[in-house]
Amino acid sequence: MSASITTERRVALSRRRAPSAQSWLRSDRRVGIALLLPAFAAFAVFVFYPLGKVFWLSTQGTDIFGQAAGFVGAKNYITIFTDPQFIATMLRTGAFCLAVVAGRIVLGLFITIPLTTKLRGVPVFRALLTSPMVVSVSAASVAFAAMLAQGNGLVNSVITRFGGSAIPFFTSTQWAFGSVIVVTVWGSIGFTVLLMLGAFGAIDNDVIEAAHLDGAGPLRTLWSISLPLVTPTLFFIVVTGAVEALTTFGQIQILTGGGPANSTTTLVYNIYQSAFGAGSANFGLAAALGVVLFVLVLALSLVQFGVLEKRVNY
Amino acid sequence: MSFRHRTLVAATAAGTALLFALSGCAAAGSDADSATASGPVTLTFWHAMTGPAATELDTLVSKFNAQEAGKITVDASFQGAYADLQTKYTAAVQSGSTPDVLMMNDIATGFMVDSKKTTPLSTFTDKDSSFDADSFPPVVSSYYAAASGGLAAMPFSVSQPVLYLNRSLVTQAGLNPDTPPTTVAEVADWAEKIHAASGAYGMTMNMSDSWMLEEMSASGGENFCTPENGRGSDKVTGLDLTSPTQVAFMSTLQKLFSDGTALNPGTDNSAMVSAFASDKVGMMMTSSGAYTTADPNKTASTVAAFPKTSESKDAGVVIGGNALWISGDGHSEAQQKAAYEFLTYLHSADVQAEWASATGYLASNTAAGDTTVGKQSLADPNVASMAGQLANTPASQAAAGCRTGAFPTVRATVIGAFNQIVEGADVTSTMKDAESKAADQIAAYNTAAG
Repeated sequence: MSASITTERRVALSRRRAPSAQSWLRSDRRVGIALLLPAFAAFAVFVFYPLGKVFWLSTQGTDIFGQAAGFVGAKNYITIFTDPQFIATMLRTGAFCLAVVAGRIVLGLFITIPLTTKLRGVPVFRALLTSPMVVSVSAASVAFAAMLAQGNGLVNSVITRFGGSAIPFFTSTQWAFGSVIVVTVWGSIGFTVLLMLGAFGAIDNDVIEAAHLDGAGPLRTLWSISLPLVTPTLFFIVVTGAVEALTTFGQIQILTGGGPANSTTTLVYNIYQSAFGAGSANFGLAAALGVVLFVLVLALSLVQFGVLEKRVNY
Repeated sequence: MSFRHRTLVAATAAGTALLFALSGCAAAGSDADSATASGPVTLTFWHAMTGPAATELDTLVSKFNAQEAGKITVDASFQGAYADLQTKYTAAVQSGSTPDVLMMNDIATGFMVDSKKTTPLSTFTDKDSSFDADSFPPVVSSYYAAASGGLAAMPFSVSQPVLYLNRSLVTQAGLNPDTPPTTVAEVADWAEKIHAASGAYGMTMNMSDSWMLEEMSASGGENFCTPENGRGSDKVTGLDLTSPTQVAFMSTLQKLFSDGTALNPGTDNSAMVSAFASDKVGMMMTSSGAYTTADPNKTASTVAAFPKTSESKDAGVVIGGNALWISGDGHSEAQQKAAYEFLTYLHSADVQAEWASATGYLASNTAAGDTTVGKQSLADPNVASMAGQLANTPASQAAAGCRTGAFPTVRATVIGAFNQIVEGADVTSTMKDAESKAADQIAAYNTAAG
């Protein structure tokens, strides 16, 4: 794959080396620009303008209707960074992100690897194990809330039937965070497995056979041949999974409402609470938090591409 | 463009798209009809009712429209739960398209008063000689009192917290459900006996926000907010959470939750009610409005008065529910008058009796009990018990409850602190921290309100 990139670059460079004063007027360029305009207009209206507005709003005070009420400079940012809760929220968001991504990769591999074998009934399991993908986050959360409820939930009924004491899955600070992580991983595991199945399926069988002929056992083949060959997909899952985890909202809203005692409040949930939570309408503060999130997602993506991508085999 | 660059752009775009989602809260449009003084008036009415309450409200609106045919037409529309309704209302204020009549929940009263976008109900009742200001239970009038005297809004749906007893679990513990506990200390005692006798949870209560703690403060005659629960001439600037009465009942609850006697339902109030209905919990402190789901056959439970936390003569419980507001700014006099007509119709004894019977709310018109429908409802001793509690609640400052536009925000702070307490944190110091955080939040709100 790296060969094709260099070819692409070489072509791009050669084009740059042959500039023409009127080149932008050439008819194919004009057609190109015309074709790009609709997409660009949509981006301008739905992305660039709101983005600019968020930056602007983050420097504004807000009245009780959420209307901008004058320039306040960095006040919203100062409020954020001097709030002791904010550091805790950031650390929690980071931990949540790590746990969800790690959970998806590890559990995903554990599920996918057996599914790549040619045993009887594997297609059925493939279908079953990728099925969480079609369940919406809200529906899944409501179902989990009902199953794991302390008073009347199925899981706790079973636990107490066998003499255990009921577990406060969503109502204790020790359990709630982990419970939300489990629900999140469950919700995304279907898609993860689907991606991994595609990646493992695309491995050239000759390579595997060659490894076998050289005397590599199944574990050795997996570790030294299969896993390195699926790293582009794993990398894709890490990048998109991290961004997805950072922006998790539905599960938290339905399962815990950010509680108990803020133990499941992540950055995005904090933004929602500031802007819309119980009619607080503090859009200035929410916008400032949004900018923090934007910078964070951007930084995370850059770091992932700078560091992680070096370990990816294309 | 290489894969790397493309993905980088995609990641950036994902970030920007997210920001867009957070900022792109467009104003919800509503066509505020500009009726002429001569022609028929159409009123837009936003509400937050669902299920049987929504069906009943639509019936009432149709009846009113038929009664006022050719003069007034009310166009009622559901706008989502209270929080969504408030978000849409703030958007409507920004775009100048507020509804003629707005339903708003109890704790949004401070926000509605601060918004200054509505005309106080007293403006109309002052000119209406047929209006009976004494037709409300005293605690209802005090809750919605306007600073200028009279009412700020028309109380419509009224509820109060009560104590539900599961008769079979209570009896199983050797207790008599017909002489229910009257104080929180007694409730705790009963809860432990029920838990010991049956293994079921002894008690439960709403934990999704600080509502129960507000009620227990009021039922001890204690103000929740300072100064004067916001009922005096000054705005609320802080919370009072650490009086001896409050520390005492919080310590009692702390013990019940931490030793597993009490069920903590977290944010899931419906799971709490269903746990009670399926004999998993002996006692439940929650809204009178939960009666029909907590005890569908109306025989398995006893509904008792909300327990007291002190013997203070000011002790009483704060009402909940919703009220109806008439928009001022940008709404013609004819529209406002028509809106007032609609509100007096909804307050009439017959309509209130019907509304209470269909929804489980308590009638906000004291004469509702004398109507045919009202008498039928009151034949159920549990309903009579709830109505009795409402009628007997004193119009004290404590029972009027706190009024601040920052209420929704500080509720989250207080329940956060209480969740730490039920896991063993020190009551006084944890609540002191909550007081200081809430004071900051209230100060921020007061600045925003101007």
